[in-house]
This record gives sequence, C-alpha cells and structure tokens, in this order.
Amino acid sequence: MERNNEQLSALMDGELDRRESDFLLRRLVSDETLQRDWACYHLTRDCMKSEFAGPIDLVARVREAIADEAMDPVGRMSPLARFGIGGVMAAGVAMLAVVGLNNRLADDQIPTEPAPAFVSQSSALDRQFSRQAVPVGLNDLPAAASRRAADDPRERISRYIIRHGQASGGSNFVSFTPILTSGPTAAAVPLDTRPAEDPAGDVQE
Amino acid sequence: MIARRALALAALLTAALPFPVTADDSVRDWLTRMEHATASLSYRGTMVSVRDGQLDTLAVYHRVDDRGVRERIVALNGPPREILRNHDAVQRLVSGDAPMVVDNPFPARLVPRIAFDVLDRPDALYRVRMAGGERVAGRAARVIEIVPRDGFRYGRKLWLDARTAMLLRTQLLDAEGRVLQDLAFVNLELGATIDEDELLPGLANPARVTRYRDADNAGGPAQAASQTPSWMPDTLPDGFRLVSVGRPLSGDEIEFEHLLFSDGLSSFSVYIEPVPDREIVEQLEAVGSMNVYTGRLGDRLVTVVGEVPPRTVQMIGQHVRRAEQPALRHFR
Repeated sequence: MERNNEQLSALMDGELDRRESDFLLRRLVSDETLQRDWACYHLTRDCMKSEFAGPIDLVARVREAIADEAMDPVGRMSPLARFGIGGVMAAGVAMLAVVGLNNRLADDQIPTEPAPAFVSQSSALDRQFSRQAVPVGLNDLPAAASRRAADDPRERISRYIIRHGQASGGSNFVSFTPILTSGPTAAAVPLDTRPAEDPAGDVQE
Repeated sequence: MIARRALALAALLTAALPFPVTADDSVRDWLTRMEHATASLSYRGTMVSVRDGQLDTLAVYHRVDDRGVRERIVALNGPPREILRNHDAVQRLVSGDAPMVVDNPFPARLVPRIAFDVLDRPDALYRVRMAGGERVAGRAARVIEIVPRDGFRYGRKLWLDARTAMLLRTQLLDAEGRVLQDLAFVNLELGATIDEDELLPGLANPARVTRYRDADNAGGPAQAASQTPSWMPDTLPDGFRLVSVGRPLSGDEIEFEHLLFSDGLSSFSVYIEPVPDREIVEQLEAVGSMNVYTGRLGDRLVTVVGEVPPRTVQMIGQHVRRAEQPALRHFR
C-alpha cells in the first residue's frame, strides 16, 4: 500500500517515467482505493493552496492535521508526504478530511448537484481511438459518484454534440452554440411513425 | 508559425481593402473566402440566437494564435453557461452541472470544407444562389441561399461580410424554407486583440473540473478514418457518405463506434456503445438546432446526433445494423 501511495505521490509530481505512469494509471482506473487516495491527495493539495471551494472548516482541519504531521521527527516522514509546496501531507489525514466532508454533505443533504465526472473513463466513447487517458488536474470525489454523473443522459448527449462538432465543425462559432441555446432539458420531439421509405422525405417539424 | 501569422495578416489586410475585393461573385468564391476568414480572423462580438420564439444572447471571444483557435462563448441570459475551446479541447460549463471537458480526438475537422460538387452539380443536393446584399451588425453583407432538394437535410441562408467574407449571420431552413434558427451578430469587432482574461472561464469554481487529456496524438484522423465500421445504417438519405469511423484500436477497450456521415454540407454522427444496465426508451430530442435520436439495438445503445431534420436522425438510428454485409440503400 505504501509503495502504491509513494508512486501516486510521484505521479502527481510528474516524477514517474512513462512506463511506471502507464502501469499506475491502469491500476487507478480499476482500483477504487487508489482512486480514493488520489482524490484525497488532490483535495489536500487544494486545501493547502487555498483552492478548495468546499466547507471552510475542512480546509482548517486539513491544515491543522498537516501541521501536526510536520511535527514528526525528521526521517520518519511518510513517503506520501512529498507534494504540495515542498510537499508535506499524509493520506490518512486527507482520508479523514474527505470522510468528514462526505458526512457533512450527507447531513446537509447537499449532494443533489452532480459530482465532477471522470468523464473520459466512465464511458467507452470517452476513450476513443485507443489513446491513453492521463489525468491532468484531478481533485475529484470518488469515482462511483463520478460515474453516476457521467451516466446522466444530458451529459452523454452534450458530449456527443461536442464530439460531433469537433469532428465536423469548422473554425467558427456555429458548432457549439446548440449547447448554449438549448434549455436545461432537451425538448422532446414526437417520433415519426410514417414508413421510413417515404420517398418524398417530407419533414414533420 | 510564420505561415499562420502571415495568413492572419493577409486576412486583416483583406479586411482593410475596399469592397468589392474580387470581381468573381460566385457562391464558390464567397464560401471559400468565408472558410478562410473564420479560420484566420480574431474577433469579439455579441450574437443573438432565435429559435422557437426563444431569444438567447451570446458573447463570443475568438482568437487565432500559433496553435490554432481559442474561443469562449458565453450565454448572457438565462442560467450561466459557457463553452470554452482551447485548441483541441472543448469545455462545457453550465451552472449547477458538473464541468465537462471533451478532448478532441481529431486534430482537424474530418468533413471537407463545403464540397462544391454537392452545390454545383446538375443533380446537386442543394440549390444555391447569391441573394443580394443587406446590412448585419452595421456591416455590408452579401447573402447566399442554400436550399435542400429533399426533406432529409436542412438548408441555410448565410450573410457574409462584404469585405472579409466573415460569417455574420446564418439561418437554418427546412425544405419548405421555414426559418428554424437565426443566429446573428449584433456587433462585431473584426481583427480584435483578444486578451487572455477574455478567454478564461467566468463561472465559479471551474478548477473543480476533472479532465483527461489524450496523451498520445499518434492516432490522427487518418488512423481513425482507416477503420472499417462494425455497424452501419442499411439506409442512408441520398448524398450522405461515411466520412470517418472512430473506435478503440486495441483489444482491451470496451467496444464502441463513432460513425461520421456527411453530404459535404450537412453531417450527423452515429454512436454505438454497449447499453448500460438500464431501460432505454426510444426517443427524439432537440438540443438547440441539433436533433438527437436515442434507441436500442439488442445490447447496444444507438445515438444519432446532427443538425439534420428529426426524421433523418430517426431513420438512421432505426436502420443501424451490424456491418457484416452492408448493403446501403440511398433515398432521395
């Protein structure tokens, strides 16, 4: 476990070579524990850098915990504690913080808003053309919640429209405006029940 | 880099020339210049979109730099929402929704710039003509009408800046000439210097975006286009051709396909993927000017997306089959 977390830390710092990165990313896709650790690291780093937009007391708790951790004798520093500003943090600290956050969110009945999504991993279409997906800014909640967001039909259709625009569109503004000019929900259109072989091809708007 | 800068400079110089720039007033010439202008000019403007009685106002910041296009489109009314295009990636930000980034699997567009043979041939799919001049956003504009010959595609009316051929206004028309959507600049600053700040997201908390970037750009459009499809519609409206097939190249990916079809002017995409473990209801939806068909074929989810009539996406979606022996029929 410690070895894995050390590698996670190195991955965040960009210190792994490509082969090690590939291996770890493959594990990250399927290992929920690793995903949770990864999310914790980013959450903690965001708290350290004052970029976290969640409850303020969480930021304070993480900072306090990190300060306590920094009091440990030199040489006993966890191999996880490598990033951030010079990098001092521990997965356990972040884990507690996230658990606390989740509990608080549950208490407040807040999580009606979809979680930020592992968009590229949760749908086959987001892994197009066999190119490897590389996280470049994760500060995410656990993957299960992310998958729920990505399964949202609105999300799916938005992705399809964007991909279609990327593949077919030119350099102008037309391709992506449908997403901005549509309502919060797509407008239902009655299915056409006429025979498909209608040669006139009349359109029923 | 130098070539791109020279291109941009040439476009700006062209913009400064008095109208008319060329004696050739053909549709082909104007459309060529339109593509050139939209690909090479930076601009800042405000647009209005009218569709089904709904009016939306959009701010557009468009910068062409050494790597390509950066763009930010901001909805100025209704719930806060933005689209940011940063070269190969498109980010959608909608207030209350999870931010979403879609990296572009295609370094360049796959659909050829308007294929003139679909407009010029005697049996062309569209009728086109120059339709005089008007003013848009305080600028003199030339008007081009493109009318479809059947009901499987939409027509368009384009207003191009008389000096630069920049697209100033576009209407989407059905086969009877009814206006389905009207998208027009109300003010436009061509050749503007777009600051970095203007291209940054304005919505709160954009840093929470979780994003994956394609690490290996080796799989370009040629690779994608070389794939043989596993799925194909057995019925296609006349003139539509398969342009590209996208799917995983290695065996350990979940099977899926993205088929892109175009007639040279209109296009639609077909997505086939393993169906999630839930009930799928066949349905048609309109998202702005896009029509979307969702249906099920055995254990596959079929989605068809395109700026084509609802009936077209439905017909395509209902006729997707395994492409063991594709025998396409074309209707017109």
